[in-house]
This record gives sequence, structure tokens and C-alpha cells, in this order.
Amino acid sequence: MTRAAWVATVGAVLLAVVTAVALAATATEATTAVTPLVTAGVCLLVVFLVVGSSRWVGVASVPMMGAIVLESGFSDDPSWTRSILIGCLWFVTMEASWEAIERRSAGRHTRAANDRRVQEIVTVVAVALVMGLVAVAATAVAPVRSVLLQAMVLAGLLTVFVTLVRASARPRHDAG
Amino acid sequence: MTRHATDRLTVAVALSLIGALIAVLAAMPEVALFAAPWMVLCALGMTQRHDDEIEVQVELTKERVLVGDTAELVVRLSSASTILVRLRPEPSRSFGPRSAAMHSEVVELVRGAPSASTEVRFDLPATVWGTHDVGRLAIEAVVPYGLFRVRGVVAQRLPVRVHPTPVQLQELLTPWMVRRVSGTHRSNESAQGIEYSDIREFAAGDSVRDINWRASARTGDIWVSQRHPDRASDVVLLVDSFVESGHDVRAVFGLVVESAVALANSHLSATDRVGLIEFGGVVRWVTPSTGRVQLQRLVDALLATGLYANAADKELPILPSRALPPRSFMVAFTPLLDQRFIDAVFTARARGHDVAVVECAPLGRSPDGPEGGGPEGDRPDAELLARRIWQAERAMVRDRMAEQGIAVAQWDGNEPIDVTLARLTRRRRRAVRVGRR
Repeated sequence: MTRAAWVATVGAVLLAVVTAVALAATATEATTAVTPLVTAGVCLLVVFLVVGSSRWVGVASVPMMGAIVLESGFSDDPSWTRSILIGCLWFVTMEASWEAIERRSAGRHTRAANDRRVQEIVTVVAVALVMGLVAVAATAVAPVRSVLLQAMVLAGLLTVFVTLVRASARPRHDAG
Repeated sequence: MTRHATDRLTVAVALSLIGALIAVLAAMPEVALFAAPWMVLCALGMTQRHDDEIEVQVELTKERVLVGDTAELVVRLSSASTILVRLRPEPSRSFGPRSAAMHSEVVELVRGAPSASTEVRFDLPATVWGTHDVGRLAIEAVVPYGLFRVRGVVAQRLPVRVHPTPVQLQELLTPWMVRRVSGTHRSNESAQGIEYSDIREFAAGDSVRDINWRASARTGDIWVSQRHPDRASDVVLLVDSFVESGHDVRAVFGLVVESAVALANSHLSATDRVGLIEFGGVVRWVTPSTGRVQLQRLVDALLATGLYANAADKELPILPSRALPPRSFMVAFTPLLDQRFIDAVFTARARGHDVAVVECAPLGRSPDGPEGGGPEGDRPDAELLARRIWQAERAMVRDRMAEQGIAVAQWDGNEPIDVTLARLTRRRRRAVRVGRR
């Protein structure tokens, strides 16, 4: 394995552990139920990371999502901000895992290619964070009762942000 | 170029759908927010406009390299879209085993960049001599956000000539006939030279520097020393490119090429003119000349030699005198398997050329070699008998050649070519004596 592959692998495992700890530590009433699930998620990620299956490494997200569902079901006042932050952390973990798997066989990456990948991840996380925070702010100002309505609000926000990002993604030579 | 969905797309779509369904059906918006990054990824990745067209130009910095060197492959890419491209050179199998050096390279192409193209260089280690095609390139483009990838292959004919590393021989084959040009071969005639030949009585016109003072003092008359001059010669390599079924053609021809290159390199270093005649399915030649460029010409011609199965009754044609100069020294490289080539060797000798034969027969492949196919006890009688007849016939060919003053030495590739040439030199002295009788 190349040095970059090692860095990505170790980074992915560390991020997975950090996400799991953050998820378990911030769980309000269901810590005993959540902990085994996040542990299973981290173990699955490590196993599939070692095996090198980029498709099955995504399966590790299911226990993590299960933990969110479980904790959300138990809690009377679930935190949206927490969910979106953990979601973003886990997304970065998954991206690091995919990069680690790809770099085992992909050879050398140029600096521009690395920068490009980082830029894409940062864009996704930023859009998701902004969208989540705007949704949180919107519901705090005018709480909506229907989840379907909340979903529609989220979908509308998503569309707006994607359109904004696409509009801002211009060719570099135009900018320079 | 074909477009495929990546695993990233499968996972992102699955997580987005699961998160959205759970959020809506179980009234848990937190789950949708957890899956929000994947939803954003799907939205950004799928709505990205993308053109799969990638322009690729492949070229080599050097068309000729030596075994052990690296062939530098330059790839220039340009794309109508911003895209990450993974390139992996796939040279022909004959180029040698895939090595770690033939890694893939991931580069970013920027849509409409002013620099027009991105340049990537690959160093391909050349391990096997020959003419190889290195223009094949596997391309995999990952569109932004990595949800789709486009795969394709660029197959451009880009031959690289990998020359065998020339071996410098310890001792050259000495031709019996030389040119009237200064060189490094001792001539049998007496003239201005270095090596002492004889003494004779002083005659008008002799140089004072040639007077042999010791002999003159002893006899009381004036004696002068005679010397052998050093001359250059014309060496013509006669290469057998007939295909004989039932033999490892590549192995045999490999020996032919290696020994021919070694001999050409050494004779060119000794200011001899060296030429080449390829005699097989086609007859081609390289006119004898001197210098390093001539070595490249000869090696190029050898590497371009095609092995043809040809059943036509061929004879050594009347070649122009510039291709086969009179009194030239011919060294034939042959496995002595094709009767037409054997006849050509006799023809050349009959035309007055000094001829020597290097019999290139790889060990274990030669029908009369020591490992020619297993212990004799395991073979049926008919096969053993056929083998003995074959050996007798080949021995007859060598004897006939020796009678004509043509020396033959076998080379199996295991011993240094110098040893074989030393043996050939010894046999040449004997064969020429026999041939002159």
C-alpha cells in the first residue's frame, strides 16, 4: 500500500471511532442500546475497509442510522443539529474509507486531483450543514407539525442549495 | 468510452432513500438530517453536466532504448469537462512483465483550461529487447463527486525499439581477406605495419627506418625488416530467418540476434565495415558501413526481421556488390535447420567469400543437444533411430562445411559468446587449411 492509502485508512478508522464516541456520548437516554449499535458500525467499517469492498463498507452506515433512529425514538426532544453534525462526520468517514480502498490500486494521485477530491467533500459537507442549520432555524421560528411538511421543506432547501452550488461552480479560467 | 455507476452512487442513493423513508414514515426528521450529506451528494453528483469526451495524445520521447533503460511515455489529455482521470499504460506483453513502475496515475483535467492539456509522463522499464507496442492506455475517468466513472482504452500504434545491450568481445574473428584500408586486422602481406614478418636484403627505395641493425651487423650486409600491415575488413552478417516447424523459433532467433549484435558492435569498434543480409522469407540487406549509427541501423534491421514460414525454393540471390562486397568476410548465424540456408552458405563460399558459421541452438531445444527431450530409455526405438539419423545428417552438414573451409561453432546461449568465437577461430584455422588443400 502507498503512504497515501495508509493515511486514508488510518484516518477513516479514527474518524469512525470519533463519530461513534460522539454519537454514544451525546445520546440522552438510550446509551446502553446505542453503544452496541455504533460499535457494530465501526467494526463493520473496519472489516470491510480491510477486505477492500467499497460497496459493503457502506453497510456500516446502517447500524449508525439505526442508532440515530433508536435514540430519536427514546428521546422526547431530539436535537437536529446533533444529527446533522454526526451525519456529516460519518459522511467524511465513508469518503475517507472509499479513498483508502481506491488508493490501494489506483497508483499515484497528483496534487490537483487530491485537492479536487477534498474540495468536493468540503462542498457536500458545507451544503448539508448549511441546509440543516437553515432547516433548524426555520422550524425554531415557525415549528411545523407534519413530518411530511418538514420533508418538503428539506427538499426545497436542498434544491435551492444545489442550484446555488452549481451556479457557483464555474470553470477556473473564468475566475482567473 | 462506457459509463458506469460507482459503488459510491449505490450507497448514497440507498442511504438517502432509507433516511427519507424512515423520516417520513416514522416521523423522525433527525434520520433525514443524518442522511442529508448523502442526499446532497446525490443531488450534486447527478445534476452535474458532464461530457465524456477526453482527447488523448500519446507519444514517446525516445524511439530507441537499450535493455535496462526506461522508455518515457508522454500522455497529453484534454477534456470538455472537469474530470479526474486515472491512466494506466498497458504495453504489449512482449515488452515484459508488468512492473511496479507501470503504476496508474490520477490527474485532474480542468474544463477548458487555458493550458489546453494536462501532461503525464510514465517511465516504462525496458527489460526485453525487440520492437514493442507501448501505445495502449487504459483510461478511467471519475466524474465530479465520484458517482459515475467512464472507462475506455486508447490503442495507438507506438512502437519502441528496445536494443539488446551490446557485448564487447574480447577477441575478434580474424578475416582471411582484408581491404586496402587501415584497420586492426593483421594482413598476411608485407608492407608498412607494426607486427614483424620477415627480413630481406636492402633494396633501393627502402626506408632507413626499416633497416634491421642487428641482422645487418651479424651478416655484414644491409637487411631490412618486413612487417604485416593492419587492415580493415568488410564483415557481412548473414542471418537465417527461415522458420522451421517444431522448434522454439523465438528462442533460436533470440540467439541469432544477440550473437549478431555482439559481433557487429565489436567489429564496428575495430573500424571494420559491417553489413547485414537477412535471408529467409524475404531477402533484405544493410550495406556495409562503419560507425555507431551503423550499429543502430543493423540492430533496427535485426529487430524488424520477420520470421516467415516460406516453402519457396530460394537461393542466395546475386546481391549488388555494395551489399556484399567482394572478398568480404561472411559470418552466418543460423540454427542449421533449413536446407535452403545451408545451400546459401555453400553458395557464398563458392563465390569466394570467407565464411564462418555460428550455429545458434538453444540448450534443451536442439534435436541433437544433450537435453534434447528426456532420457533415451523412455523413448520408443523408432524415435531413437530417427534422432540418430538426424544427428548423423547434421554432423554430415558440418563435415561438408569443414571440407569447404567453412568453420562451424555451436552456441547455446549459456556460455559467453567469446568462448564460442574462440572455438570458431580455432576451427577456422583448421577448416581453411582443409579447404585450401
